[in-house]
Amino acid sequence: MQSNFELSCKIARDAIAVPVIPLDTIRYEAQHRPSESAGRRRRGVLAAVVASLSIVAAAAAADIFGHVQISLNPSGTVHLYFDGGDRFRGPLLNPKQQDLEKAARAMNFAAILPKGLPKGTDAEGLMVLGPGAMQIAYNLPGAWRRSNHLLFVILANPKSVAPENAKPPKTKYTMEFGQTTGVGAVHWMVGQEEVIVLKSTITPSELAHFKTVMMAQAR
Amino acid sequence: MANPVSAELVDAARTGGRDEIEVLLRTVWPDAYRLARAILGEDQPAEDAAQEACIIVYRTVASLRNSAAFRTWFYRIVVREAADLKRRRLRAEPSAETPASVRDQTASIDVWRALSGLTDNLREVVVLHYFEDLSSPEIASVLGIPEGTVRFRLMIARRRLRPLLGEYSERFSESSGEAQTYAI
Repeated sequence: MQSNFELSCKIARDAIAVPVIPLDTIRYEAQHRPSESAGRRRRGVLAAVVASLSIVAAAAAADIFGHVQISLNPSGTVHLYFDGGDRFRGPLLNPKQQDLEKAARAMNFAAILPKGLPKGTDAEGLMVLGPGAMQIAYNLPGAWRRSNHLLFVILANPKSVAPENAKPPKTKYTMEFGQTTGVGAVHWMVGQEEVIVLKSTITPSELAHFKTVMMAQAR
Repeated sequence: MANPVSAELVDAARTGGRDEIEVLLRTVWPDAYRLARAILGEDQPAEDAAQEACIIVYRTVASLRNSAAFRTWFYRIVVREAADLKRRRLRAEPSAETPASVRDQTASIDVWRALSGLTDNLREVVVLHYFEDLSSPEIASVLGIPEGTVRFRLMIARRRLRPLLGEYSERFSESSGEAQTYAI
């Protein structure tokens, strides 16, 4: 017969609310963490991250603008196509403002850096995706976000963003990243720049504020 | 009761690619989190420990030789990660005591309070036995200790829990008017 204690344990176990699995973080850490030992979670490092990243050898190079093409998928993820591995630099962890500005100056368009993100948001990683795009990984504030603090913002030359339903180019390297749940997966134009915000735990109001401030910068 | 993980699922993860591993991780995540939560007694550290365990599974499941051993192997990783996390936190904040556990509103016995009164070693065997339904040989395999040690720890844990459970027993008896025996 089951004892009261045993029964209570079962009830207590089932009553534990399970958070959503932070699969993007797990995937990235599994693929990129250098040491086998499971050290403490390094939010700063993992934030640098592409939620899932795979570089796949493919066919020969094609002619794409700025050596990079960004393809937005209906699921909210993005594909990046490079015509050469040397076009990809990063991630630079915990970039300073001057690092972001330097990367922005190297773009082949007038890059406007993100502003208007929630107070307490830190830049955790920077990737230069060829002269046509750069990606900044942010660490959103707020304990309520639990393990899902990452926000990925891509600043791209509109010419490097593939039109909807475009066939993927045959390039040497492909990267795929982004979550499939959360708020985001939106893009808009600011001046000569395409701003792409991938899905994250950013709230609709935070996202709206971010967009408003960014739009104001272009005026 | 833990979610059953089929051998096919484990086989697919061992031999397949990223997608198969992620299907497996989604399946075992609730168990990992609950086990870590029961051992650590807090939400955020439990999530960290479960996440670390899943990272290890992601990286090493392909090297698992026997799919049938997955459950024990996986629990071993979760328990180890939880214990490591606890040690690191104690080193970082040696004077910090474990925060009061969340009281269980649904169970007649406050399990969390009972568990928080046990040492880490005892708590682990109690959690694996009563929460996860593991047998003594399975617990021995998970913790890497002899079966006799598992049984001894369970016995000690029961003795230590008895006064606390007795307190509940009296309260419960008064309210229900029935004699209660807690055979744990």
